[in-house]
Amino acid sequence: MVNSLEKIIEVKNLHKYYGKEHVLKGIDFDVEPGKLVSIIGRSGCGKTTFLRCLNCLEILDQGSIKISGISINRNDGSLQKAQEIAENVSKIRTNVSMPFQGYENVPGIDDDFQIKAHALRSRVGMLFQSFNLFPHMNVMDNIIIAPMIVQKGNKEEVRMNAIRNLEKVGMEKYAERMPYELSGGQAQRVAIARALTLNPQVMLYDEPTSALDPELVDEVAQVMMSLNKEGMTQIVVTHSMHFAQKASDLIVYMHEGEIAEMGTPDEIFFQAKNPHTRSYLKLFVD
Amino acid sequence: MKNIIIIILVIFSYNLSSAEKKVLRWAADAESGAPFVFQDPRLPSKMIGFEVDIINAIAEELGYEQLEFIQNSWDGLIPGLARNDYDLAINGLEITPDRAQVVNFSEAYFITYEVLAVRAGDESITDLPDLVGRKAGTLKGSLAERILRDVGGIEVKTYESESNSYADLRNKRIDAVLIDHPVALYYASWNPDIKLLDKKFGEVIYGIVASKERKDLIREVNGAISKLATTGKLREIYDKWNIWNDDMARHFNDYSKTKTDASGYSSFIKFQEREVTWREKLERYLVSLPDLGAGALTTLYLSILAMVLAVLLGLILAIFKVYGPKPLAFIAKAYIEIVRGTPLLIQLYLIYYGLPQIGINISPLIAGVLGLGLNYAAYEAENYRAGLYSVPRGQLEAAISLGMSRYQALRHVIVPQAIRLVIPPVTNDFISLLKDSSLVSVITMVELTKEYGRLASTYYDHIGLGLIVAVIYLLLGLPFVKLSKIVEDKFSLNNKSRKK
Repeated sequence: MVNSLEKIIEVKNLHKYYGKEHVLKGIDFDVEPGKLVSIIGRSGCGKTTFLRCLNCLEILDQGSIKISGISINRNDGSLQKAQEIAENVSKIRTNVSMPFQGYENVPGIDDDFQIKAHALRSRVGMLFQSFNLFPHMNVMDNIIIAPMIVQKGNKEEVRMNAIRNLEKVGMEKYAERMPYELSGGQAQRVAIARALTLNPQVMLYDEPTSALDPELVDEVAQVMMSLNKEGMTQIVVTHSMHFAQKASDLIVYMHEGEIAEMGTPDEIFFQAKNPHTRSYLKLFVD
Repeated sequence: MKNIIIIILVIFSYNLSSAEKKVLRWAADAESGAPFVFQDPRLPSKMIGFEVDIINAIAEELGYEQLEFIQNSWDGLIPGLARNDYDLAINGLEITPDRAQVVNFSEAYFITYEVLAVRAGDESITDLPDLVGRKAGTLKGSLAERILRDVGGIEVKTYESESNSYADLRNKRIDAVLIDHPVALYYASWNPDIKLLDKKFGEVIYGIVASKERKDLIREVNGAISKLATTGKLREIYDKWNIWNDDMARHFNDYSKTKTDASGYSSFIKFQEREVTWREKLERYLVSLPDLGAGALTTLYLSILAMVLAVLLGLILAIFKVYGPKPLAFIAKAYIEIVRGTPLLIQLYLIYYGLPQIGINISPLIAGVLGLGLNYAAYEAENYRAGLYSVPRGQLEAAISLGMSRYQALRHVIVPQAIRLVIPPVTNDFISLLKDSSLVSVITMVELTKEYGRLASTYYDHIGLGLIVAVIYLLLGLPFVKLSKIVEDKFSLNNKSRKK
C-alpha cells in the first residue's frame, strides 16, 4: 500500500506552449494520495491546460510528470528548442487531430513515450465540462464499452462492476436510458461512473459543474465528496469558489502559467499572501 | 496487387463462350442505326442491318461456327480492337489515313456519298455555298463534317445520332443536314417534311477493321469479300437494303440490273412512314421492356458494386486525410483533388483503354465498377470528412481518456456518430451515380441509357421511350432512398432506448 507521505502525483518543471504562447511556465506540483485538490484562477491562467497535461491529452513540451509510479518526461534540449518544436506541431494539428498526430517526427515522442502515456491514462480518470457521454450508446454501454474493448473484460463482470459504480453515483436506475434523456447533473454522474469503471488511481475534473444549472451542482459535488471519503485522489479545475472552499483539502491558485499560491481552503480564502490571489477572490465577495 | 487484379479478372472473365468452337467476335454500335446495325423493330433483341448480313456472310465463308456481337460506343470501336475485346469492327468506319495508322482496314465493302437534306419547301438551298452564314448539322467526326467545315462560313452543328439532326432540321434549329446517303435514305427520304437534294458530295469508303496484329484475319476477310462479290451474295445484300449505287457498280464491276427485292428497306420504311397509333406505340414499348429491363439490371448492379467500393474506399481516404500521418494524409488529399477535378469519362477511358497498354487488361464490368467507384470514392471521402469534423472534439478526448487506442476510438465512438450525419449526402450521391453509370457505354457495356439510345434510334421515338426510361431510373433509385431512411432511423439517437 502507498504510504500516506508518499506522493501519488509529482510534477517537475512542466512547460507547455501553444504555438509561440508560453502557457505553462515551469510548474512544480505534488499531491499526496487521497487528497481533493481544487485548482482555481482566472480564465487563461493555464489551469485547464495543466490538467490536460496530467492526462496526456496535451503533451508536455518540457519537464516530467509522475503519476502512480508511471513517469513520462521530456527533458531533452533547451526551452527554446521545445518552443520551436511545439510551434511546428501546432501548425500541423487540427481540431480533430488525435493526441499524438503531428508528433510523428518529434524527438522524445517515441513508441516508449506513447506506451507510457497510454498506461498513464489508464490510471487516471478524466471528466469534462460537457460530460462527453457517447450519444449513440445508452448509459450502460457508455460505461462498459471501454472495459470491454480495452481490457477485454468478461461481460458479466464488467456489467456488475458498472452497476456498482452507477450505485455509487446514484444512477443505477438509469442504466438503459440514452444520454439525451438525462439532466446535466445526471449525465455528469454517469460520466464519473464511466471513469471509475477502469479503476483509476486519480480522477481529474475539468470544470465539472460549470455547465450545470445551479440546483444540479450539488448532486455532482456530493459524489466527489463521497469519493474523497473513500480515499480517491482528485484534482478539480473549478470556477466554483463555494465548491473549492467546502470540498477541497488543498487549493491551488494559478496565475499566468504558474502556481502562485497553494494552501488549505482557510489559508487561501482568509490568509492569502499573494496579491493576485487576493484580488481574484475579491471578485466573489458580495 | 497485380495478382489480385488477375484473380478478379479470372472470376469476372467476360468471355464465357466455349473455347472449342471457332468464334468470330465483332463489334458495332447499334445506336448508329439503320441500315448499318440496328435492333429489329419487331424484336429489339435481334440485330439486323446490311453490316450484320455482311459479317454473317463473311463468317460463313471463313468457316466460323459462331458469331458473337459486342456492343460498343462508336467512338470506342477502334480502341476496343487494341484491347482485343473483339476481332473485327464493322460500323460505317471510313477508311482514312489517320485510322489506317492504328488499325488494319479491309478492302472497301461499301462506297457511298453525302447527300444534303433540307426542309421541304425550302428552295433557298441547292448547294453547299448556299449554307454560308446558316446552320448545318451532321454526325460528329464524319467526312460530312469535314466537307461542311471546308466550305467555310457555315455554322456546323454535330450530332451523336442522325435522328436528332433530322429532328432539329424539322424544328428549324438548323437549315440543312449533310449525311451519308444510306442514313438519309432510311431516316429522311420518307419524311414529308424533309427533302433530299440530288447532288452527291464527296466519296465515303467503308472498310472492316481489325487490330494491327491481325493482318492474317484481314487477308481472310478480303478474300471473303471478293468471293462474296463474285458469287453475287454481296449484291444481294445491298439490294435487300436498297443501297446499291453507281460507285459500287464501278468498284465491284457489276452493272447488272437489280434482281433482289428490297425487303429490308421496305419493311423498315413501312415501319417508319405511317402514323403510329397509340396502341402500336404501347406494343412497341412492351416489346422494348425486356431489353430495357436487361439494361436497367446492368445499371443497377454496376451502380451497387461501384457504390460499395466508393463507400469503403471513401471512408479509408477520409480517415487518412483527417487522422493519417503526413504522407498518408497527403496521398489521400491528392487523390481526392485529382479524381474529383478530372472528368469521369476520361477516367473510364484511361482505365479501360489505357491500362491494357501497361499490361493490365480488365473486363468492362470491372473497369466500369473501378471507374465509377474510384471516382465516387473521392466525393464520399469528403462527405465522411464533413461527418468526422461534425463529431465534437470532446468525444475523441473522452474515448482516449478511457484508454481507447486511436483505432478503437474511431471504430466505436467517432465513425458511428459520423455515419449518421453522412447518410443523406451518400444517398444523394448514389442516386447521382445511378445516372452517371450511363457513361460506361463507352466501354462496351449496354446499360439503361445505351439501351434507350439504341431503341430510340430504331423506333425514331425519343420522347415516349425517354419518359419510360426516366421512370425506370426513378424506380431504381426509390428503394435506396427508402433504405437510407431505414438506416438513418437505425443510427438516429432517438429510437434506441424505446427499442430495448
